[in-house]
Amino acid sequence: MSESTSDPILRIENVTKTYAGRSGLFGRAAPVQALKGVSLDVTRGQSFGLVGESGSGKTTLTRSILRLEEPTSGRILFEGQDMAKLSAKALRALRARVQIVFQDPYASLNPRMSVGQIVTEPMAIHHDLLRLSAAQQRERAAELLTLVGLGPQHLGRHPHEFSGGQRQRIGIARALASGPDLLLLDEPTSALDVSVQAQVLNLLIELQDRLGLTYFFISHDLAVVRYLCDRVALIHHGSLVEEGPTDRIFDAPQTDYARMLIGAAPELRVP
Amino acid sequence: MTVPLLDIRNLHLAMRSFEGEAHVLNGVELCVNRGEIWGLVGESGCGKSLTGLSISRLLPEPPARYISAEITLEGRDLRALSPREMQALRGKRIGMIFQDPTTNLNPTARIGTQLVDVALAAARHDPTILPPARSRRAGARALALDMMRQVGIPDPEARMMSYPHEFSGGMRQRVLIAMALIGRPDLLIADEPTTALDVSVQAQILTLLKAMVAEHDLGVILITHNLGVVAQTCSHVAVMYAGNVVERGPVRQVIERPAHPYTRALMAAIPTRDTPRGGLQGLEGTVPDLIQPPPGCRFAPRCTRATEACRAAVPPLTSQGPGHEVACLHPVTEDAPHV
Ligand SMILES: Nc1ncnc2c1ncn2[C@@H]1O[C@H](COP(=O)(O)OP(=O)(O)OP(=O)(O)O)[C@@H](O)[C@H]1O
Ligand SMILES: Nc1ncnc2c1ncn2[C@@H]1O[C@H](COP(=O)(O)OP(=O)(O)OP(=O)(O)O)[C@@H](O)[C@H]1O
Ligand SMILES: [Mg+2]
Ligand SMILES: [Mg+2]
Repeated sequence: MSESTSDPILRIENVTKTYAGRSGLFGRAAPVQALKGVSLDVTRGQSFGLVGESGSGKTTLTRSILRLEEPTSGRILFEGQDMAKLSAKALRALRARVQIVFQDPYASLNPRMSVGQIVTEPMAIHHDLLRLSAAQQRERAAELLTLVGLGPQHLGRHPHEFSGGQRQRIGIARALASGPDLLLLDEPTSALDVSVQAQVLNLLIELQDRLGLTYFFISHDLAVVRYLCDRVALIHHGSLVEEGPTDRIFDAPQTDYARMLIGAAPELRVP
Repeated sequence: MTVPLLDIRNLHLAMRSFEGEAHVLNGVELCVNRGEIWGLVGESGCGKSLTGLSISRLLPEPPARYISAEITLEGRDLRALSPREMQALRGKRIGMIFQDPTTNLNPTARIGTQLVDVALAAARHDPTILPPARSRRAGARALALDMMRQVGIPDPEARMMSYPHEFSGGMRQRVLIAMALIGRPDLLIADEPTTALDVSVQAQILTLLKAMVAEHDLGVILITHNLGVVAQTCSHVAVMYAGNVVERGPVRQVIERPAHPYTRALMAAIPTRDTPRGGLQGLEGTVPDLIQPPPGCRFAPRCTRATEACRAAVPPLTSQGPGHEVACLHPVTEDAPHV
């Protein structure tokens, strides 16, 4: 894949996020600086991996990209446009193009909805943009399910009838329903067995090759990031400590934090 | 031959559920000696936790029903013990860390109180674990402090006063290890003790576990779904599939020359530094329904090497090299592709 960063689909510029301290029994806690001046570019059609320990700010950054959080300072640009400056209408249109797949395939699907309802819901939400009739929505849902290795026969079923890997496929089908360019994947395989994880990772690669999707991929698992991502950023206490092409980061880490993370990851070989 | 610390044979367990009775353990065989750390691995639902809970007899019957089970601890038949004797054994000779985090620490009691309580309970069965002191309580407190120090909790006197929520995940896990080891058990069963932790904390906990085994000469069953953790930590490994141990042996032999097609498939699904993009091998099919399990080898429906004979009877464990056994009629003999 090309190394050019001339066309970032997503640009994060010096973003900080400070949470006011929670007030509790013992007075107000100190404010938490969840992001401290994070800058990065995500190239169209590539997979960008974000790795860091628990509490390092990964979810805060994804939530900021989705505008579920307002950055305290800095800018987030989608195709060169500052997301904070968009009109409500433009922001809605943009939401159709940036979708998220959640970590827990058991908690993230509404148990009372059928698979058909789950996958068509984003098409209804973005109806003004997609303008699909109910029949077209169902047809597209069936296509999406086939794309992720399920099928039209699953439209009427409910989440509890599926395995973890199948549920994550449904979550991916839902995320693809509005025709996004960018998928945010927040630990999409960490709740799954390795056998199922392999299916989901291969599916993500296949979809990227077919649809030209861009992935922003969060994970604790360095081996998974190495397998999937073209570039990697390591985040520690809200700051990026290292960023670069995947091979460079793994073969020649520059910081102690990178060396520590790589060294601590249990590899499948007997020492 | 010396008597093994733990010997499990012929462990068949059924669990009653809404849909029917599931035959969840199908003749598990496992043997653990002192000084050994056994990794128990396999996909979700293959019976790892139920094997651990069967050893310490913590499954209520019903819904559990033992079809057959021979479980001995240093030759003593655990199934023949009275509930009282079994409870004494759990406090003293078998330490456990459970997978379900809510069963582990009481959120409303101080860490120190919880450790002292465990020490006092264990001392009821063996007073010699307490160091000499003015009172039993003072002795239990000294032991609790010593254990906290041993598992690497800094400033233990002050930390005794903390509540669980004031500890990080890694610190809580250290407390649980301290708690499981406080009665000087001979056998430790740790069910997914590092799954929720960062890799750096995981590495610390696993190093701690190895040090404890070396120091106290215990036997350990480390339940995990992470074969990397097994490769780094364990001396031995048992691979489970749908209620059976399908392969077991010294960790190097099993990881470097996996003989069961399932072990191979499991390993091929794990990305390593050399896996090319798109080169990961998923495992076709899904785990079988245990209410109506397939006859014979339960992996046969997903196995590319399966023949008629595989569907006729469960293959017994047969030797594959020193200490290395596999329950397969068509074991793979080439070196693993990744080593
Ligand atoms: N709503 C909030 N109010 C106050 N602090 C918060 C809030 N959300 C997150 N934080 C804090 O911000 C920091 C970063 O949290 P974040 O959830 O982004 O971490 P993460 O990298 O996603 O961690 P994990 O791997 O555990 O999911 C943490 O210290 C967290 O406690
Ligand atoms: N209380 C129960 N009642 C009925 N069935 C049960 C019960 N507990 C477990 N099972 C079933 O027994 C089988 C083995 O469960 P077990 O908890 O031992 O799996 P495991 O290997 O520990 O999986 P995981 O990696 O997900 O923890 C599963 O099919 C499970 O659904
Ligand atoms: Mg997070
Ligand atoms: Mg379990």
